[in-house]
Amino acid sequence: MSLRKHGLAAGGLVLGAALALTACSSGSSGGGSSAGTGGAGGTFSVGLEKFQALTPSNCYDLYCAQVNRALFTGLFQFTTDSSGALTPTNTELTKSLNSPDDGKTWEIELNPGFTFTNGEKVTAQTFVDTYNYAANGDNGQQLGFIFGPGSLDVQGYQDVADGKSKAMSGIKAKSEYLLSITLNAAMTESLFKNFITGPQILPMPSEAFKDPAKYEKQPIGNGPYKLTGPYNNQGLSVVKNADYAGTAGNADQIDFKIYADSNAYWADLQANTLDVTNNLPQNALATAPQVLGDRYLNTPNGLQYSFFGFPANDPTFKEKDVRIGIAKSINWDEINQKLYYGTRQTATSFAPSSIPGGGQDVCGDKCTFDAAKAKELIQGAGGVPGNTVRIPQLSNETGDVQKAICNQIQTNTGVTCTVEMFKDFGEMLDVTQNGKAPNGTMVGSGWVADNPTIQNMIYFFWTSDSPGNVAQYKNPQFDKLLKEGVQAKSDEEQIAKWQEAEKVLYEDFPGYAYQFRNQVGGYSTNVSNVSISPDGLIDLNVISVNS
Amino acid sequence: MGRYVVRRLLQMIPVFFGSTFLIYFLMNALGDPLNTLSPQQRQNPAYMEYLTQSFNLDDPFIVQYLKYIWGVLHGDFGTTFSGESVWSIVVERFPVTFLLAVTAVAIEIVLGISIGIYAALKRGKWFDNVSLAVALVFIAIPLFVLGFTLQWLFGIKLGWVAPSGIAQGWPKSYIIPAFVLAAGSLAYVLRLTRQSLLETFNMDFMRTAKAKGLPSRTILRKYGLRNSLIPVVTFLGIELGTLMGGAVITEGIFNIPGIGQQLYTSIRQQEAVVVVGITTLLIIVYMLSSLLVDVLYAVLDPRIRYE
Amino acid sequence: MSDIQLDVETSVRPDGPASRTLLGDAWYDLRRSWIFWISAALLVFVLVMVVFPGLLAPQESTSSLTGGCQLANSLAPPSSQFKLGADQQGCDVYALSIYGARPSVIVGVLAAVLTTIIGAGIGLIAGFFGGKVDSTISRIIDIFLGVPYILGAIVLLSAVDLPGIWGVVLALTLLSWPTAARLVRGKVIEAKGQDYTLAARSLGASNGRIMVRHILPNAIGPSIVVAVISLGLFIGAEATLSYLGLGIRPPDFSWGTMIADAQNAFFQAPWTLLVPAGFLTLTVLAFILLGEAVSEALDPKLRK
Repeated sequence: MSLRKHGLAAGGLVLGAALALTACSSGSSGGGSSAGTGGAGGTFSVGLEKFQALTPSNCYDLYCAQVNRALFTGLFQFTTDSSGALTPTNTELTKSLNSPDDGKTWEIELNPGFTFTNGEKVTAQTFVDTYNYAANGDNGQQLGFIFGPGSLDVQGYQDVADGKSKAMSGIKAKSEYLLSITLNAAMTESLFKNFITGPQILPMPSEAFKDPAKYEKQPIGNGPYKLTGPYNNQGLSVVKNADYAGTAGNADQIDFKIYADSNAYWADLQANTLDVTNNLPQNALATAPQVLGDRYLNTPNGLQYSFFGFPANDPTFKEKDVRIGIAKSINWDEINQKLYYGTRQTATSFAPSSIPGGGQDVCGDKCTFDAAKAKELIQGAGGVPGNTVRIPQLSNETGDVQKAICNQIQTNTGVTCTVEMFKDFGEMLDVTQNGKAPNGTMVGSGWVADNPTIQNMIYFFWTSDSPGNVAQYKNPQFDKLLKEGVQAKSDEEQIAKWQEAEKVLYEDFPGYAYQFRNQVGGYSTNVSNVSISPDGLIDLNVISVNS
Repeated sequence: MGRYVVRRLLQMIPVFFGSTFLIYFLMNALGDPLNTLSPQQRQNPAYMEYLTQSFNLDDPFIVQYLKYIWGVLHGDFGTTFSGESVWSIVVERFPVTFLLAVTAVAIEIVLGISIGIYAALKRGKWFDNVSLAVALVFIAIPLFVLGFTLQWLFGIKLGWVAPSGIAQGWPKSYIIPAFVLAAGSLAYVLRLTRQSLLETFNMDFMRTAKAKGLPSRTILRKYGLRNSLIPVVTFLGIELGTLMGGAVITEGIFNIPGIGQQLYTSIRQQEAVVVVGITTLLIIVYMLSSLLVDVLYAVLDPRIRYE
Repeated sequence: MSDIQLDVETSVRPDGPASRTLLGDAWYDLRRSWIFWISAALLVFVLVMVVFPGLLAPQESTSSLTGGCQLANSLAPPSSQFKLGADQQGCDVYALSIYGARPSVIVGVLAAVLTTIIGAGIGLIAGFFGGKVDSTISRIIDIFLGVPYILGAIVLLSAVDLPGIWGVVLALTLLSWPTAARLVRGKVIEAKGQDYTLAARSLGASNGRIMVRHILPNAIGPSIVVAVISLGLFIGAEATLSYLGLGIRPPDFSWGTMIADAQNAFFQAPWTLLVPAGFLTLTVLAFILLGEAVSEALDPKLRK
């Protein structure tokens, strides 16, 4: 049982945020097995880990997002474009999006005909009520922040978040099907769509606000499937929603099974008692390609990375050559192959190629493994003070990768390397920011993108005033470039500014991303047409049950 | 006897307060629960503020504890951070773990006692030695190694049962996990049965029965078992409570949605009220079963008196 | 008064099997027990691993600072370079197993000794004084026994930051003393009612003297046997804690951490699990068998 996670994961309560409704990746590539690629009908099962909440405004992990794909239809969804990058596009619910005033106000026109499974119509007012409920601090909804500063920055958000007002002045229903959102500052269309499609708040019927506890157990949605009853610890089942106005799903029924950890998924998948999973445990990675054959899913450029930081208040890492030397002494290609069997990629920037403007080699020579050069750099800088570095490990991680990193550092530089345990990311922040960590302690964590922008990948750990700035990096130029990117008038300008910001970051080298995580999963012989998008979600609608 | 039972039940009241306080204190010692939030969740100061307010995280420890106890005395056992009520968690999960533990005890009884008796009868013969060796290997193998091996063998390789979950119901979904849970104690029951049976064989009344020419099967049934099973029964009584608390790893391997799983998750997320609620319940179960054992002991052995 | 003291120590005379003393008989039985000899041989081997691991394997191959543990050798099968294969990190499984013995066995020994001392002390007090003292201690024992093992271990090991094996030893001791105390308490109550105790009391012996000279020696026998068995179990428990990520931390390693790490590649490279698990199982088995053999030999009621 891997009760622990592998690699410097996001840590804490959830493995990570998930993007809402995703991607039928262009040219669906599942299975392709000609035998029994059945059409519509049938039942299949999907393995999940326990989600925190199903209520859309409180759903901030991969697992509830996967369930809610079946239960709800939102405004936008991410699709993969021809270059492999994720871009937000309209769903069948959204007729049009435009801004009459160059990006400060956004008007979304909805297609009529969509209803909740209790008969309530999905209108502009539905979204006004849902958004106000989500933003209200008294309701404790995890996704409320997307309307706040740093994301959409909607007019009137702060008063609602503080519980002083019930409604954001910036969100209005101009007519039955016309929703208007006014921001504090103008932004480009793609950035607006990225923010609102990110951890998406799906529409909720008025019943949800009357009895949130009851709604949580059995959410009423407007999607292609509906729940058969309240969920419990073993899972939940959904059946086709006969009244759905959009394109229906293939299967008649989907059973979601909840697992305490991914080892049990793997056992069930091998025994064919589980049909689809978007997660495989570490101990499955070596054998899964052989066991599953073409039913093994491995989508590169997942929207997740792991990084290291060198705390600015630690004299050990004062010399830039020491920091670069440490980075160069670790052979990530070898680690990704030997420990992760090709399910991770060596990162050369903070943004993988599934992000517009990502996939660049920003790090260049600094991230290239070279044992001799690494040793030379460190010695040239007078060695590592104390001759010891400490690699961070969170208590929910197994520590395999930390061991491998330390072995590489010790072998290649002769510097002693040990592991420094932190209970969680919060403790790491507290300890390192207050200088309570022993000298030589590196920091690190993982990040799961809220939306596919370079800005989202880097802002939280590196902007001067961010609560997540664990390495205490401060560079006004970096902050300024990131901000100019947000305010840019065109996509090209925006991406250029952010890429420039990333260059500044790598030039200063207060830390670096070392690894992107692929999205790995598999499916049984009972189903076909299964694929995982870079954000980790599986398009359940297109899966067909073999006859 | 009645007074004794009443006194023992009354003693559970201070134990309740003592244990809730102790566990609440230990959970508090783990640090700020907000620390467990992921970097992503830290983007939302309004949510962090909501958690602080709803779960009294700003209050001093003793105030938090008193507020919790006040709630419990009014029937409010608190909720997880995502709002699920502890009471509904317990109602949903407790029976699952109970069934698993009862099945494990049943396995210990059936296998442990019968093999133990046979081993005692065949003392020093190959059966005795082999059963000892096998039993001890089960003690020595770490639980998770045994669990994964049996899951692989019966769930994947042979396909006799589903590798995980309880969808197949009792006994199919429970038998393998229950065996894994029972494995360590199984050896103990076996040895205990064998040993106390051998002791009984040497007692005067057994010699007398033998001298009277009764067949050994009758002696065993009429005199030997009843007298020698007392220590075994007392052990098994306490065992139920121990197994329920010890099911964490087994429940994880076999994905059994019991309280062990919940307990583990909640410890990791530092949801003090959940951990305190479940653990206190486990302690009560443990104390009730140990009281039951003491009473049973007096019933089985008339020489024991409780004043 | 001295001829009333019939405890074990004074009744042993060194003049061979002719004098039928308890220990003499026990030794006589033990010598004829194959279980005893097998466990003793195993334990001698374990002792060598713990005290002189250098005789069996070079320490250099257990650390990347001295040239061992190259990731390029990850999961290398058994060969002339790696007698029992390499693990996922490319370390020599044989050398790691030899050097992993020391922390594993020391955890077991320390936890067993501490548990027995604390348990015997508290159990003695509870059993001897009875009444309020006994019921208070008994309920405290109930609380400790009722707290799930894993909860206690996680909380202790997370809250207390002790280096190396000490956290594990502390956790195992704190969670296990109640079992030992319960056992001793039962035996003390039994011994309290025996004739020799009553005789000592009637001769005016003090409480302290009765406890230490008469009751303890009679109650400690079974707890030593249990201690030997639980020593084995503690070694296994350390593996379980490591499996949960709570055990010994790198750069230290033990059989437990090796077994926990081996899960990743078990099907590909079974030696990563089988070798340390084999060492651990045999060692645990040796201690349990020794405990069994000694307890059987010491128990006159079981003699044929």
